[in-house]
Amino acid sequence: MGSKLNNKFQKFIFILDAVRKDHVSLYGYDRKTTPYIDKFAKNADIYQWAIAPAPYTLASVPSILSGKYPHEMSNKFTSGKFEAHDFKKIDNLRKKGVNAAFFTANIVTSSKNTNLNESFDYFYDENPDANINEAYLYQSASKVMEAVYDFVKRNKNRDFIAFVHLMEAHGPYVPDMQVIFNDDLLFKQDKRKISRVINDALTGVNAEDLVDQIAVPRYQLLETVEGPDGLEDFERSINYYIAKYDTGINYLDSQLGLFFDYLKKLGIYNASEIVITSDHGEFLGEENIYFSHGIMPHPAVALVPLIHKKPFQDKSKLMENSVSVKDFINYLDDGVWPETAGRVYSIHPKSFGFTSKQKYFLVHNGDLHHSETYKECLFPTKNFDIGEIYTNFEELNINIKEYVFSKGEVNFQKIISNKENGELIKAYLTLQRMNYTYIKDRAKWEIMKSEKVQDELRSVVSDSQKQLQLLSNQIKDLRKERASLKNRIRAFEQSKTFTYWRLYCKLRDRIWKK
Amino acid sequence: MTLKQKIKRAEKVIQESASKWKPEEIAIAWTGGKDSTVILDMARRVFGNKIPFRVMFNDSTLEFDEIYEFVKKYKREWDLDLLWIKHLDQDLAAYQKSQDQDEQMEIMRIAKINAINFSIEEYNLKAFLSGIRKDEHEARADETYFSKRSTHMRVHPILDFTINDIWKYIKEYNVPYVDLYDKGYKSLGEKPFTSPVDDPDAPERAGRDATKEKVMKRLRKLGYW
Repeated sequence: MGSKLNNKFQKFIFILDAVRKDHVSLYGYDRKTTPYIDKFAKNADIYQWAIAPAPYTLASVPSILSGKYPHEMSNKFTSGKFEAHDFKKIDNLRKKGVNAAFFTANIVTSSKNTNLNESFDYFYDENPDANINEAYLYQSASKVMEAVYDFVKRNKNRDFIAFVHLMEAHGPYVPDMQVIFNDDLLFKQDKRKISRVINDALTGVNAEDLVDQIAVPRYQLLETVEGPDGLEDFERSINYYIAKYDTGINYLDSQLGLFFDYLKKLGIYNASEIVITSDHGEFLGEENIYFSHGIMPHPAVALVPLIHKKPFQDKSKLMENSVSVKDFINYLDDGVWPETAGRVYSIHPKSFGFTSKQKYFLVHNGDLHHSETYKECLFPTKNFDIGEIYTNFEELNINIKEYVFSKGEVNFQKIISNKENGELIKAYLTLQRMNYTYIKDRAKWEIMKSEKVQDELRSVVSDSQKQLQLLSNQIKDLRKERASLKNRIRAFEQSKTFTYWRLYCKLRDRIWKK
Repeated sequence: MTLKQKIKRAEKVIQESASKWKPEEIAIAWTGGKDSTVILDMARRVFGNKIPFRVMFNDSTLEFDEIYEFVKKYKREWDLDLLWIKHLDQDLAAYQKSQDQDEQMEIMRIAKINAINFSIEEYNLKAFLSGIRKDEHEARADETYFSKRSTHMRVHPILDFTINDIWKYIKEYNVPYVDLYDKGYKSLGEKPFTSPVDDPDAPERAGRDATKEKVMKRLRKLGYW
């Protein structure tokens, strides 16, 4: 174990690409996806309101490395070419003798696609030359971690900062890995099937199309059969894809667990400062968008895990304040996360989301979204065309800061000053927390009340005495939970809030239909 | 295997299909090209000129005019139970919106599987006969005559035919074909993505654009990952 005499500057920032906060078991996910992170968090600060600076990698990761929002950087979102001054913070550390390293499994942040390598002393970016859906499109975490182990071994007596960018939660979801989490209620209850394949850049795809479809981008498809004229078959079950996504997260977690053991063996774990976070999340059906990101900073994509272990931290602390993931590098300057006046952003060339008093607002193409409940959207979204966004900005040389914020702000004001919309938003904000609890309870109740649950439990156990006892206990627990849920739902439905909630739903439906 | 044996084998596969599924559950995928037209001809011979199965033409709206004329003509002459399946309007709208040829090709390839899936569900199809051949593409090397898919069975009667076998069959049985083949086209895809080939020894799919790697490059450029 490490000793307090070790006062080296040794920092690790793990960026787990595409991991959304609510699929990390530490944050309450029903699947035990991250046992090692959960354990790690017992001696760390756990941030409830960590916001990714952008909803896609090419904007988000450089932002995390620089401490600036994407629009504050020299290239304004549009390419992988950066100026040296973008990474001044890292440069300052290097000038102080800190060895700066970046390890990436992602081709997007590699030297093939960016000049990020120029800002680091050590840069690992060995990527496989893979074709879409034929193998992994990225380097495996185990391979990248080998390089990290080697780096740590060589530098254990030096000051260093190491950014490690890993990819197994990114689509296509671990195509060569055996799926786990495919035998639980979440899996069994989800009967949704893919009904349409769409192009990867979502060109020409809009919200209206998606209302009656479950559409998935081509590159995400698993178990594909290909012919010379294109795709012939693929796995259609949504539950399979989500279980695979969770499998990827679980694999990353196991890699971190092994690495922490290694640091302990070297005696530098306690003294190390370690951050685990993500560059963005992933749509898993929110707004009828499946297995994609980069479209807009929706809460499913903007809210990410952030767990921060300081040197020799021996307690867990829940952090309720909003922070931007990009600010860790700024935090290193003065030891506290920068004051953000409770408001941090996730930014996209056409939209921005921001936190305010533990709520998250999103303005996209003039539509206002609001949610910590993920599935809520106050107004329907139009135009998911990712390619168009980049083309416009590159060709038109638009000032993104002015365009995104000014236009967004004007739209936001317009929306809230409309009387009917204003009422809707007010009703929503008032009801939000109760509504969320109710929806969650209600959804769970639908599952619990189903007799199928018990049938399925019966089907998975054989008739040995021990297993029968186990089954009987499980049924007892289920009955208890059912009773409690029933009471909570009844209490809510008898409350004044429920009346307001129904009014809110009516108002919302009316506005949507216009 | 001689051509005669291959033909016998193909006919047996068609007959086996008829015994495994009801006629209305079977569709022959007809592109208007030489291979699928050979299957139609075989089926006509097997069943005495009247094919009991459905015949599905997947209309991308971008086919050659000659293909449309050919399909219409032989639908009438052969009295085919033709399912004319146009690509989904949403896919065609996405195609129109895209400004990038690689992306347009990607959209069209996707549109094809969407249309097939739609038809399988809509018409409750259980088997789908298609004219794929092992020598056409390396992806076909491990294919079998009956190949299970998640929602249906793919049946490949002419899997062992070579391109020479196809042309020999066409000549021997006097099978009609689109005259584009006489104008240098080796394989027929959508009009914007298919061109004639000067070199008679060029591979069969030489005139067909390939998209995979280009799509990948575009995704990387977008930084979508």
